[in-house]
Amino acid sequence: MKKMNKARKVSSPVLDSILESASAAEIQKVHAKMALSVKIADALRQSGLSKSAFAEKLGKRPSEVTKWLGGTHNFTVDTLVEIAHALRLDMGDFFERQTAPAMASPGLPAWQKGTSGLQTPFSVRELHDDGQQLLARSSEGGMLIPYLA
Amino acid sequence: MCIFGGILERRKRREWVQKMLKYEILELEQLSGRRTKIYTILPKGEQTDLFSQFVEKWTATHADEVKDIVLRLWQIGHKFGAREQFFRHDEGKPGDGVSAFFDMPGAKLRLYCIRYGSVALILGSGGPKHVRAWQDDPILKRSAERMIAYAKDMNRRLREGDDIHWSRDGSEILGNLKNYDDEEDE
Repeated sequence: MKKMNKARKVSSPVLDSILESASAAEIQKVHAKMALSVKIADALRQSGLSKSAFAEKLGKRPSEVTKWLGGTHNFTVDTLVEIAHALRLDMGDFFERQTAPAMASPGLPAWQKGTSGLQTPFSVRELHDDGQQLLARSSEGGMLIPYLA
Repeated sequence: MCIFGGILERRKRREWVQKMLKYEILELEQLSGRRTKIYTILPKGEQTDLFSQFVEKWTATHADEVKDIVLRLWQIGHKFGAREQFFRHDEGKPGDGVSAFFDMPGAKLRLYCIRYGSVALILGSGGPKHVRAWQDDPILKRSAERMIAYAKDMNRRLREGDDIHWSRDGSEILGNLKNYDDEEDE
């Protein structure tokens, strides 16, 4: 019979101190860059354009697009306007709340079901709307955690 | 190198891999979330898991990059999932199963990991990349080769399914997550 043991959970004091030292603005910046990259990746998938075709449309190299999608790029307004134009998006779409993902159904490992295209249940706008609530104290560890539920 | 030197080298390497492949898979409580379970590896005989070693080692010299990596991993665990776009894949050769976590623009810190779709991520270690290929840097080479060996071993164990396996909803790894006994000889 297969063992059903779960992984032992570990909590690192070093990680605690890093998370505690992060300001609300730092957390927002990280979140916003990742949210934008996810939005662009989803729009690109929906457009049916390949990464190369998208890059060509914008006069960029595919490696530049890869960088945009990596979740660390600090987009300028100009770049966002160009991307929105190429993907037929409205600028407001970048900041629109998205629908929650369908969770993987039992049976197969979720990672075998092509779940990389999950829609994200948050947005840059939501982040700003909830700005005052961004940091909440975890009842267990006293760790600062972003509140975006 | 003479033929005997080559044989000796291969034998030493095989022994190193065999010894290294005694390990425990741990879940990182602070980073793991409803989107992605985030795990790391505690090799037998070591006091600290690979990811904590990475954080402790590079915080002194690369504090901003380490913080950025930790914050992004938190977002992956709780908000976005380990989407393919956030990683560079097949760091060594195609199919080796090891990805590198993107560094900040202009920064050089690399973290090697094993990604299972969007739902599970096994974090290893890494270091600053100042060379074109990781094979040219001893720290990166050791980190990447270790993760390639772990990826190979874990993929085999998950494929066979007797030892470790996916939970019914496919969201976490269950089973014999520590593949050695504490009483075993070194």
